[in-house]
Amino acid sequence: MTDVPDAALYLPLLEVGERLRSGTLTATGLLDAALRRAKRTEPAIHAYVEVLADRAHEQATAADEAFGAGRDLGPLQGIPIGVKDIFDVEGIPTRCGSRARRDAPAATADAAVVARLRRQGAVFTGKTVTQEYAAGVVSVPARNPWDPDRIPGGSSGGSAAAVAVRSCLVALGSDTGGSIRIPAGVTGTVGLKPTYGLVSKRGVFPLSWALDTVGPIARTVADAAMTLGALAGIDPSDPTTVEHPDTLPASASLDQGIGGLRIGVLGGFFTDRIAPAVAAAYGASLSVFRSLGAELVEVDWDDAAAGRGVAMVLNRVESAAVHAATVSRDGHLLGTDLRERLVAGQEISAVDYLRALRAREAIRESVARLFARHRLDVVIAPTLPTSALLAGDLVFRHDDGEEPVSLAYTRLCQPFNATGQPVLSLPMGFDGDGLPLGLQIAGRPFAEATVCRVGHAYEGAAGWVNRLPSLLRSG
Amino acid sequence: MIDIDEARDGQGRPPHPPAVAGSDRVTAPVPVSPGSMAEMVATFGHLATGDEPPTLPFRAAWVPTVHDEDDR
Repeated sequence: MTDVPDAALYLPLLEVGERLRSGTLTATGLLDAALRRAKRTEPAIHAYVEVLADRAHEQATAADEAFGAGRDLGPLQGIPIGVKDIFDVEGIPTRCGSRARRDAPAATADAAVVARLRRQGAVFTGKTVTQEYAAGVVSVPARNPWDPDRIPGGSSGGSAAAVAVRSCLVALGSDTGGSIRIPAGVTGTVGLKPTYGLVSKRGVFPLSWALDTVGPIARTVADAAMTLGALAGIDPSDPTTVEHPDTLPASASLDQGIGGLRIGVLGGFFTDRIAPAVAAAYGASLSVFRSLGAELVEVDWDDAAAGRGVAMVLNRVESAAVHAATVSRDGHLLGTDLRERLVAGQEISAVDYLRALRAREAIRESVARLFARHRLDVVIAPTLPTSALLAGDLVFRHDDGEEPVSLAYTRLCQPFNATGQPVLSLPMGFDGDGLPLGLQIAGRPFAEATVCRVGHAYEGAAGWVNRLPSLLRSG
Repeated sequence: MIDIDEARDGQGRPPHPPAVAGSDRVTAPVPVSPGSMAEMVATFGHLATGDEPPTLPFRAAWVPTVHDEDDR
C-alpha cells in the first residue's frame, strides 16, 4: 500500500488528477488518507451515516488499474467523493436520515449523478448525514468541524463537514432552499447550486420538484467547478434537465480575471437583520472585488422577499405531497419538526400554491430586469445572516428580535431557489469566534462559468481557503 | 481503514451520543402556524394578480429569453 501523506488531501483536484495520471499518486493511497482522516474526525463530527470502505477500495483499485492501462475515464477518476444519503447508490439503502426508512431496502440502481461519477471512475467514500428527508438545516447528528458544539448547517450538513475535514475531496449535496449553500457557508467550504435543470435529479429523494437542485460541495471554487462539469448534462429520465454545454466552467476560463465585470452588491433584504460580523465581512469583500478590477453597483432587488415567500410556499406544499403517504402510514416515525412541517404544508390552499407559481414568473422577470438594467454579470450577498449556531441554542438573535434557525438560515438563500439561477457560496471571512462566514455569488441562468470565474478570483485574493478547522488544529 | 461495522450501529448511524441529551433529534422550530404561512403568501400576493396562467413547474427549466436590454 502506498503511504500518501495527508497533505495530498489539500491538493487541487486538477493537480490530484495530474499526479494520478503520472503515477506519483495512487487512488488507493489517496483513499487511505481520506479514510484515516475520517477515522480521526468522525468521533467528533459524525459526517457519515455509513463509511463504504470496502467498496471504496474496490473502486480505487479499479481506478488505479485503469490508470495503469492508460484508460482515462474522466477528471474525477480516483477521486474520493462523499454522497448525501438522499442519493441512491446501488446496493446501499437510502435512509434519508429518517426512522421511516430505517429498514429501507438497498437501492437497485444508482442515482443519475452517481452513475455518471461511477462511469468516470470516482471513488465513493460513504453516505453522508442529511437532515431528515433534506427538510431542514441542522443535520443531526453531524457537527461543525470549526466547533463541534455547533451545527454544520443543512440539509447537506454531513457532506459539508466531510469536505471541511478532508475525509473526502468533494461531496454531493442538494439545494431546495439553501441546502448546499447553508452548510458550505457555516463550514468554510464552497457550495455550488447550479441552474435549475442543469443537473439530473433522478434517483435523488425529492423534497420539492419545482425547486430541487443537485450540486457539489468542495474545498475550492475550481474543485466545485470541475465536479459540476462531471455532473451536468441532459437526462431523458429527468424532464427538467436541459442541454447547456457552453456554460460549464472550464478550468482555463476561471483564470481570466474579473477586470471590468459588473457586480451588483445586494442590499436591503440581504443586509437587514444580519450579524455585525457578517456585515463587516461583506463590506470588506467589496474592497477585494474592487482590487481585482470589478465594477461594483449597489442594487436592491425589491422582490427578494416575495421570492423567499414563493420558495417557502412551493417547498412546503410539494414536500407535503411527496410525503403524504408516509405521514398517514408512518407519521409516528417522523421527527416532530418534519411532521409538523408536513402537516402545515397540507393546510396551504391550492389557490395559494397556484398563486405562488404565477408569482414566481414575475419574480424571475424582476431579477432578469435587475441584471439588464444595471448590465450586471453577477450579484453578491451574504449566504447567511450569522455563523454556525450552537446545537443547544438554535436561535439567531439580532437587533430586531430573534429568529429560529430554520428561518434565519434559509432567509437569504431561498429567493434564488425561486428564480432557479446559479449561485455559489464561498468563504468571505470569520467572525470573532473564529467561525466561517459565507458569500453568495449569483449569476444569470446557466452562467455557471461566470459565477465560478468571479468566485475563483475572489477566493485567490481573499485567501480564506487556507485556514484549517479548529478540529484539525487541535492535534 | 475504517471497519464498516465499527462505523455504524446497525441503523445506519455512527455510534455517538445524542446531539441533545434525552433526544436523538435537535428541535429546530419551523413555521407551522397558518399565520406564518399567511405571512409568506402575503409577500407575493401582489405579483399574482393578472390573467396569465402559472407555468407548470416540472417540465421546463428556466431558459433565458428576454430582458437582455443591454447589448452583450
